Amino acid sequence: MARDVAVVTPWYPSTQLPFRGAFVRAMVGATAPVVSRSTVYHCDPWVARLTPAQDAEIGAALRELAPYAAGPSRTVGGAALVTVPVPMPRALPFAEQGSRAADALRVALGGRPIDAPVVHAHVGLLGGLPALRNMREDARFFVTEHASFLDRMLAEPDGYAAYAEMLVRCEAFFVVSDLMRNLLAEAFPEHTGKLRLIANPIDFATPRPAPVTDLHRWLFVGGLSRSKGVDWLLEAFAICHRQDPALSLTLVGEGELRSKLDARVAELGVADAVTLTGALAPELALDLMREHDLLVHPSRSETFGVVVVEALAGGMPVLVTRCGGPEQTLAGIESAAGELIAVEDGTDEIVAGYRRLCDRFPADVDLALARRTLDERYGYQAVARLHEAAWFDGAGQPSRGR
Amino acid sequence: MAPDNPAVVGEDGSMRVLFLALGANRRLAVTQESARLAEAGDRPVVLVDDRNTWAAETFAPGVTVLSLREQAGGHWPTAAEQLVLFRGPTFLLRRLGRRGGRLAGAYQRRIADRLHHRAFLPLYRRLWPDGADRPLDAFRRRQGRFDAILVTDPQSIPAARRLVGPAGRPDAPRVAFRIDQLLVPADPGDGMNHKDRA
Repeated sequence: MARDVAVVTPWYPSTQLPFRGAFVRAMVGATAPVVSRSTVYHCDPWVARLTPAQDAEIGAALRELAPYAAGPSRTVGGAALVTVPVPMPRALPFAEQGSRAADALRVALGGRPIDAPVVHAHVGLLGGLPALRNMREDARFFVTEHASFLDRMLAEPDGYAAYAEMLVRCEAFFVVSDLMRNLLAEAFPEHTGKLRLIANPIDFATPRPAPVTDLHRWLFVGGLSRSKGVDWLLEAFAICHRQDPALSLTLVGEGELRSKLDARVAELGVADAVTLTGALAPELALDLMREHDLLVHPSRSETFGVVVVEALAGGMPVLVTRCGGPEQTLAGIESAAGELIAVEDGTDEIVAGYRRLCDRFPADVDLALARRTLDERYGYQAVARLHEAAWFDGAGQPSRGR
Repeated sequence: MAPDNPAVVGEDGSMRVLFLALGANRRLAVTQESARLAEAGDRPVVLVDDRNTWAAETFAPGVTVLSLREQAGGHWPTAAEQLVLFRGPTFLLRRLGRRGGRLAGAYQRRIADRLHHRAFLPLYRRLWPDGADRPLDAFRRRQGRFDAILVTDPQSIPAARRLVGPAGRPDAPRVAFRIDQLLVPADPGDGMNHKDRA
């Protein structure tokens, strides 16, 4: 039997949302060498203001359009990418969102089951339910949870029930942080044995053209939202910039704070030093990491914080909050990687952390050690090995009873 | 691995692709993907509901943008509604200067669009079963055949179904939800150049 794997996910980078699901794409790329065929089913939530009549009309039309749909496109590692639009009105409960994704995937598959012996879903209910409802009876089922809204999914009665169904059926349930593992272990103690930690795979292969020599060019990559602390970052940058006019700040991303940040940049008089690029393709954001000196990531909460590891893969130190994920990903190499600061509403921690880092850079920062350690933990080969061990037995066949 | 679907091309090697963007809620995908096609020498046409909704967006040279509301199709109630509910009030509000522009936008989103979808469209469908679809039919008559339809938002899905025509039509355009579906990758996962393979 071939090593065929199907990946079902609500998040995958697209033109509209180039960052969303970058970790799923990285996982597909990382595991490409250990599979013979990989197909990604991107059940893309298309959320809009819809009346019930519109919603029903759209659902019926989508079913009738299925026979005319163009075939899959291609993505990393030669994998096929099947785009499945999942139209839905706003603010649906999570379980219903998952059920709609399952229905849309069934339509896209023409009613046939997913043709793969191994099915790996990403994002609990939103990828897990469509996978569960459309896979073959004999398929092996795995899930990776990345969602920062896991607690809200479990708080819904239908969401909890659907989650339990997934946990019963899956052979292993991967989570990207201890926080998630603890949450799930508490909610489903009978399935604790299936919970496993996994990292989002990161590319460490591309070298930085020149090493960082000072910490002048700050970079932020992520959503421009309060949850990422980007408003405090701008204020803190303005304080540091007053003392050192050579500093610059590049903000990569889009979000609800975009127009407010634009206005605040002008008010603070730092328009010459701050650049808002808008959303960029992940490759361009990674290029920027190799051209900047310091990633500042003052997020309020992260389950993993992939951008922090990407920055170190790109050879730059980080100034990052202890917001859940980073203290785990950087465990043991905190000082080598840069500076960790407390989550705080204000500028003091960011400014003080930057000054501490400046005081000990470069003598007391070991980026080579941080990079090497993270490559062993989160590099493509490490993640590929972990998936391969879960999906296949030693003979390369889908295995059972692990 | 070989692609599962061949590139969709016209006789001169270029594609005539219709972007359906009637919901206007995935704008980045529409502007960037139509720009990619235009840069490749293809002929993208973007059909929007209301041109004003897209006023802040920039389309690349070579991209044709058309408005469904400007395709009245000889249906007088639709034309009258457009005048009384949309064009008249927004014209007057915009006379108030910069603040008027914001007011016109808010009026259209919160009042006119809601009335159009919740009151007028259901009414037309009851009184004139084919009336609500006349603008789209008029668009199809004027624009002719497309090689492919790219559906970009939920509100465009019923329009795509109508444009595809009756089931089993041999020359039906392909329907895609992502531009990559219509292009053959030159290098899997990276840049696209369908003409190299077509």
